[in-house]
Amino acid sequence: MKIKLDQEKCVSGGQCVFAAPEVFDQREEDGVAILLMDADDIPEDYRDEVIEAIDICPARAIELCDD
Amino acid sequence: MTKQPRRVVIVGAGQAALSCLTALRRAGFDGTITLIGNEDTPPYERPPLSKKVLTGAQAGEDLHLITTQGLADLDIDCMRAEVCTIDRDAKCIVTDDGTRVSYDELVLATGSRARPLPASIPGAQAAGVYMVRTIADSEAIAGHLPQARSCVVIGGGFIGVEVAAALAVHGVTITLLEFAEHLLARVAPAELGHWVEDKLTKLGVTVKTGTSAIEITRTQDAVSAVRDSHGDEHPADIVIAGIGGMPNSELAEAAGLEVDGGVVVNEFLATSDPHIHAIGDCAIERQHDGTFYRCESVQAAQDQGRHLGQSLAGKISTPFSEVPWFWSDIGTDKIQMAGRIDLATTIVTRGDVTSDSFSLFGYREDTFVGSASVNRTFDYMAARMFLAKGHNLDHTLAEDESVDLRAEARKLPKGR
Repeated sequence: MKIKLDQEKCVSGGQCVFAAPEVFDQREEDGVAILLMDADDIPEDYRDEVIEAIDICPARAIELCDD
Repeated sequence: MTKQPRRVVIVGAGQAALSCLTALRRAGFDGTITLIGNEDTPPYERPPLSKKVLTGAQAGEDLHLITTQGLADLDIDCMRAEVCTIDRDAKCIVTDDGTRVSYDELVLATGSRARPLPASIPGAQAAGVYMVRTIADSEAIAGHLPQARSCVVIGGGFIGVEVAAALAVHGVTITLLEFAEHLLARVAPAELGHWVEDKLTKLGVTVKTGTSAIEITRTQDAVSAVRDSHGDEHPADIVIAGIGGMPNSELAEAAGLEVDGGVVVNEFLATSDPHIHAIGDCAIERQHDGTFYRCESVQAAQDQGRHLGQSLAGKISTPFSEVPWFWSDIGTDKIQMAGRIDLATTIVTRGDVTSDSFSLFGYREDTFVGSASVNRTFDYMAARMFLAKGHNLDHTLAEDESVDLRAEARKLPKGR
């Protein structure tokens, strides 16, 4: 699956890290979310966790790019 | 097995409402969802209103959390109206133009509004006196800013300090007045209030604690200064009041629901009428120990909305219990809080509280109850994990900077 992470929108709450710790982490200096894998090639195994991360991000900074 | 509702009506169209309707659809709810808001926009995020939107660095429309098309894709019936009455016997709501909308389950997500300055303060309603609550409020301030050289901010809570920092960076001369002896007094330990005061002072803000506004003076039809309770006058081309929020609970109260500093809900977010629920800023939860807790934050709006959406769709039947968390941007510095540090009787510090990187850990007796971090995301995340997993964070661990707290927290098994 493909996703897009908008680091400008990110508010550093860490919601995505709680939802999908294998996919997301945070920069230590400002807490902005980072991807631990290729945004264009997230393994399907993580779909449920990534969808949850998208839903609980308070700034809607993560977007699903495929169907 | 309880009967699934077919018609859900949500009054209020903010972050809580959006989270609720998203969760309903995600959980497979295929009945009708009617979203009734009183602003002319899709649901939007409010935190940037006291930050970048104020200075025009971010446009109001950038805050929309979903598009009109996105709501249509979720098959949501959107209405713009004021809801005037809840007819509990007929299970319907009535809007200002007399439209009646029937519900099986009603969700109140009416939010809160900014507390206005007391009318007893001369000039409280003058042009040039603003509050920060909606996109329109912040855009009005941004529009006034090019003519403003000075500003008095009344109130040293999170809204007041964020506004002061944002405008100071923009080059406006700011005076901030706070009634309490330190900033953020209602929600955070004195150590954090002192750090914020020091930070604002460095940004050029004049911070006056232990004082309040008693008069807003005007020349012709524009504000010119604010006089404080010490008799000092502070120049002001604009005045911004951030003296707290008030829950929009009048609709619930008029319907005979229990209201006590908010719409009272139980651990399942139900009001005193089992078919009416309340989430977000308007709701106040009765805790196990009989105390009440109203959490005015994005987190509460979002987590309660999601929990209720999943519950109404029949996906979960558990009580609501999420660890509160909160953030604030003071200029380029980030404060992050987890849990209930407002309940702490003892504060343990990690790092140097006079620097721009430290954390405070709050304890009640020996139990860890919450944290506040300045530019230390990993401490904040560790605190959230300890609280969420139901483990006490020993204070010797909390204050020992040689310990990687986040790594420790990740190793914890899920407790409770």
